[in-house]
Amino acid sequence: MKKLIKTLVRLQETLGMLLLSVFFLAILVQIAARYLAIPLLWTEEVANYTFIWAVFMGASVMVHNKAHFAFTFFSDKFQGRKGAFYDVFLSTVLISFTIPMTLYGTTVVREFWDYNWITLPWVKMGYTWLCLPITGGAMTLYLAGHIIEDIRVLASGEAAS
Amino acid sequence: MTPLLIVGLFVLLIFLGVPIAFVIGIISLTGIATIPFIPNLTVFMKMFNGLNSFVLLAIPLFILAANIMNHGKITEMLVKFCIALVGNIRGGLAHANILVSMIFAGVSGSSQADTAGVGKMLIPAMIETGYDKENAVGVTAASSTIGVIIPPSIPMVVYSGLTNASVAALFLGGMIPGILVGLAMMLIVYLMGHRRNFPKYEKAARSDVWKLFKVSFPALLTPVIIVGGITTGWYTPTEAAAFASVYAMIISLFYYKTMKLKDLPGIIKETLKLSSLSLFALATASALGELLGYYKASEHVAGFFAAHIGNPRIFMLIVIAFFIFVGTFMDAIPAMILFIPVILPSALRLGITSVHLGVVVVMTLAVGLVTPPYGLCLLIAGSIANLSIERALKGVLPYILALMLILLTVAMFPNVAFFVPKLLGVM
Repeated sequence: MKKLIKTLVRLQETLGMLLLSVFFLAILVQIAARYLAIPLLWTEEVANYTFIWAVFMGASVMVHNKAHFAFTFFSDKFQGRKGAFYDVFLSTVLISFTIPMTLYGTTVVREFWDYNWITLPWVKMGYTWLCLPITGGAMTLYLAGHIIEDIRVLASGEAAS
Repeated sequence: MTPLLIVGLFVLLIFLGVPIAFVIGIISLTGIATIPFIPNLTVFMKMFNGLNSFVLLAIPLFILAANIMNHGKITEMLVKFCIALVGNIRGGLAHANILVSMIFAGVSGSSQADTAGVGKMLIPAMIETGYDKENAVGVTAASSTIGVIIPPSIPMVVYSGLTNASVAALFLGGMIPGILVGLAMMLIVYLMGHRRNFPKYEKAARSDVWKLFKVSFPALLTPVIIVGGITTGWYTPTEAAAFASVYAMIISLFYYKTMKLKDLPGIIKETLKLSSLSLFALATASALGELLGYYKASEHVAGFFAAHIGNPRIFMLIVIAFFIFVGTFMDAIPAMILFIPVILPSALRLGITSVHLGVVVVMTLAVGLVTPPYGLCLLIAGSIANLSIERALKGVLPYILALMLILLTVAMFPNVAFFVPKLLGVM
């Protein structure tokens, strides 16, 4: 499980960086095309969708890194075993959102699978929407990983780091 | 009854420490689930579509530009130049801190990147030369709020996308308020410096200042090119942000030679992480916007103001109080996505222009960057100095008052903001 999570984090991080780079290049091509008066329509669509994918990939990794901003005044009061227990609770709350995101995301992908991009008609919209279930699924997996770690702490009687 | 339950759930989840982006997502899903004819998958489609906007593409690009400036040591050069300029005044490093934030603001539009970049250099230097930690953290965090007021500004780009207000007018509208905030903060440093005997450097020789100016010149030119290009309509904010990144990259790689190509993946990774945090919150906020739309929030708010408040100045004060409250626990961008569509019709009905409202809201949300619990700039600056949030707040408080004073001036006297846009004919 740990290995799977580690691999997935790396994969999402690399994919996110790659997509952010493609997005950046697409914007540059678009600017160049505008100034050279070359009609290019696909750059905006490529930039928009790579941007969305990059954001979702990055957001998943940040769930793994426990880096999404939160008001921790109350939760900081729980340390050690109590902290681990509280973390299980928080991860469960997040899972109540990430599982629906995976399921409804899958439905959206199915619904729109056969639609195509406007400027590049050979690209299916289904691929674009895939970022929703992938993000939901990856977040769920990372949160499950956190819960397992916390349960281990609780079971072994160690203090949570 | 349902709206009340939703508000209750929102407050409870935030208090319990659930990440804010997810709190917004969970209450959107809960709210939509109670409406029989809106399918639940709308929440996730809205999250996707909320990001599908050309104007938002400017956000990671401005963050990228700032990250390149920090990695390429451009920030460091600007800091040295500013120290040479104002270091000899009592509290010289604190003055330089504010001045460099004003210049940085002209390139990046991201306050957090300013805190991280300038703070990493100046907070340790200030502590070493005898400032207490509270002061070093306070002035660094506070001055970086100028980042979103002086153009370019990420929140202003988003505001323009939401309201169709002219980006050029908003950017130029932020210029004088931003400079005034900087000067007001410098005045506070000056007064505190004399009372607490802040250290000062010896006056730099003119030849040294000139040398540093020449070295910093390509970096100093960036704000002029970016803001000039956007206001004259040469390029869009998104294009300007891309241009800023490329320009910072070129001068770091080839002119200053302070960055290598192999540094780029690290910079992109950092940009991905920082951008995805606020943009994911923006995505869930778009879903919540759907729910607010269903409950006709903007009509209720407009009805309330029409019935009870006919004075635009009182309206502005209420808007300021509201966004200061919201800004304490929410990032500027989701806060605007949620509430600007709700309050805009009321503002227009009272004769407040969308540009005036935009400048005031962005300045108010800038206060939120340094107010706990969710004051990102304060958190970043505090962590650099290893200072608790309570002590950091003590340090930043005088500067918040300065920011508030200028904010109220701009709210009550719109011409403070309108002067430059009117002068250049964009309003």
